[in-house]
Amino acid sequence: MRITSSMLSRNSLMALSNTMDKLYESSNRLSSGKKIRSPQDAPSVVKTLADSRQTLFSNNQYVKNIKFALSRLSLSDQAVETVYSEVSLIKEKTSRVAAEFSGEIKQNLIEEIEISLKNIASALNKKDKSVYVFSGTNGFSKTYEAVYGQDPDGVSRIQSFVYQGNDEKINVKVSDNETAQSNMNGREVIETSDDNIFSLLIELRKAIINSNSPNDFQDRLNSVLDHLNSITVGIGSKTQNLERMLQRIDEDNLSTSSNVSSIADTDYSKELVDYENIRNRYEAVLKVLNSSAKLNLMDYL
Amino acid sequence: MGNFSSLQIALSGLRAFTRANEVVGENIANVSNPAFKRREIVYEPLNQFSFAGSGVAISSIKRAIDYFAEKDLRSAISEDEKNKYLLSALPGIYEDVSSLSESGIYACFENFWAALQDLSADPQDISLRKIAIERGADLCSALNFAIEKSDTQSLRIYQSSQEYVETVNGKLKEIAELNKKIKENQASGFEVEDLKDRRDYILEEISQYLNLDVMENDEGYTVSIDGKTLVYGSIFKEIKVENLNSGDLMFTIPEYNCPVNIYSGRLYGCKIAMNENYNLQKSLKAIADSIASSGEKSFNKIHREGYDLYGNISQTDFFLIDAYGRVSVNQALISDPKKLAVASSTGVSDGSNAVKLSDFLKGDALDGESYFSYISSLSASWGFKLDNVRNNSYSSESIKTAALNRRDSISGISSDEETVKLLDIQRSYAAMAKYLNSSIKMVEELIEAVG
Repeated sequence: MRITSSMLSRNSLMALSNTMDKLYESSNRLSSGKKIRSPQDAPSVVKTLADSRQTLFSNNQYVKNIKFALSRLSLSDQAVETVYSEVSLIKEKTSRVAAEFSGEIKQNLIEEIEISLKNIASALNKKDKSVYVFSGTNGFSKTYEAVYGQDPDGVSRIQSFVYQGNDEKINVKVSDNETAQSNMNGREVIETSDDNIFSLLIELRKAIINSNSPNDFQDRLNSVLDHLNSITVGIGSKTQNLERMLQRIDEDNLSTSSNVSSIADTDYSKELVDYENIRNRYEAVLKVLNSSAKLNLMDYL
Repeated sequence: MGNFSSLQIALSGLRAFTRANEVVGENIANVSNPAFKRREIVYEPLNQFSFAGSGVAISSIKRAIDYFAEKDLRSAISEDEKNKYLLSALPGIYEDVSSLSESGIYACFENFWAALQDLSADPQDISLRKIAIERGADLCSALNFAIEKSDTQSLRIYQSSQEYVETVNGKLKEIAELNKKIKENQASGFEVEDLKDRRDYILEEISQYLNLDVMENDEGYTVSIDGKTLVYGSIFKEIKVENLNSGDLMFTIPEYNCPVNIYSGRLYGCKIAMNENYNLQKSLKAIADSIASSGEKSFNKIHREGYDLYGNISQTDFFLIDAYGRVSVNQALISDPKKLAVASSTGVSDGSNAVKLSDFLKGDALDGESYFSYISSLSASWGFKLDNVRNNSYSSESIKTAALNRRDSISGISSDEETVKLLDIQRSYAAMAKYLNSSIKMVEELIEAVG
């Protein structure tokens, strides 16, 4: 085959252009940190990458949802704790009153019960971002509204509470197939299977006003405290479940990210070696081009 | 042989080598001219004194050309140009549907899904409602933009094909004119080699757009495609391109009133790109139609059956689609985000319908696939196509280079080779000059001796 001048320059330029392309690709991989930047770079793994990306994206959203549910559960827990401490206080004072039933002590206890009723109502009327947490899905309605009336001693006090929420549950998605309840409604806290904390305390107050012995209420107070305890345990178990879920998502994210990274990210040490090799090749091509351009018989003559 | 005939021999050599020197000089001067074919000198002995060895002459100056190598080259150029066109046109078409992009349709679906999820936890939050509506509007914009872009792309491809066809027609006309000129010059005994070079080079240029069949006869080059003659002697026919608006371009020869099939060059690249663009647009429209559908199993139906923040059943669609296929978020929801049907009951803190809406996006909404899966399949399929085109382009470029090298090994000029020839010719010229000098001396001495 005759080797013509244009063939020499064409072949050298083609080698130069190919090496430059490779150098450009390698420097892109180094600067972006990604070896797959568009679907054509590795079409066979595009679906895997998209699925992994979606898993990571969804997981991040589920983490947000779980954190929301945890914050709501924590609010519920605080409120139930308040109710528990108020009921415990009344129970303790009632047992003391039963032993020494003087007029002043009786009056104090009546006022304490009234304050406890208000404190319990206030705990259950807790708002989070303008929403009543214990109102079910009726978040704009105040959970408990007090109804005032006259007691047998002629003083105006709380006679009952009207629950303005509903019994609906608020669920958030915590994974593709699971939801978690993030709320607890007022009724669940206040009502036991056969009692109502508000009614119990109001009845107790009325019994004290009528000078009846508060001792008869001890069993009911104990059962209410048991009920509150079981709610706290329930909230604790839900919280624990959600925290476990967070951990699981973290682990899932870690393995998915490392999987994505192994597919799509640049292995810097390997890429740097490759880059150096291509650069050497590029310089070699330039030298060959330079010397082949000088190889001209006409110039020699 | 007399002394005068030896002078004749010397003169014929000087004349021949002077001309040869010119030819080699011409070759060297055209070393970088891609249209120029190397000239070869054919010498012949002169027999003017009825015996051999009575001098030398140049019988012809031939163009070094191999028509098979030329044909191979044209076909390699056509294939390479088709791939190069696709390589430049296709990425622009697909980039909006890349599932790896941070701003394409896929990302918009993700953001919309996340906004609905956020809303499901805090449904009474007006700012979250606004965000969900905005994310829905972003999705509509991305879809509309991609569909409009594919319209623009289709127009651009059509315009490119029109430009290419015009170029081809211009060059076909030039070939017809060159056929005529070559015939006339040949008849008048003028040199036609440069004109032939020009004609071959035009054919090579045309092969970028389409590969033509070429035959040489008394009228010059007869050029045809798909069995239909485009140039015969000085007559040429124009090609026309038409956009069929169904993802296809139709090439015709109006004078014959018939379509022609083109399977090579940039014009074929245009045809393929047009088809790919059309198919992508169809897929994008399927997404738009599905998202704005009001059918039994649709996003809008879930929204219609949900409750707004006023506690009313919504009965309004979230997405709307107009007569031009443009999707948008219902203006009623944009004006009053409280009308977004996030609840499945009258409760203001009920976000269960938002969960249903977001689940729909991840469900089998489109041909048994989720939107995410549909787009990533689309993206993967485009990835394969582009990867193929890139690989094809690498190999077609190598094939083209090999064909160019093969053609150049016949028609190309090696400056070293021409230099050697130049030296040879100079030596022969010097020898002839010496021969002439000796012959003159002999004649002078003879005249002197005779007195």
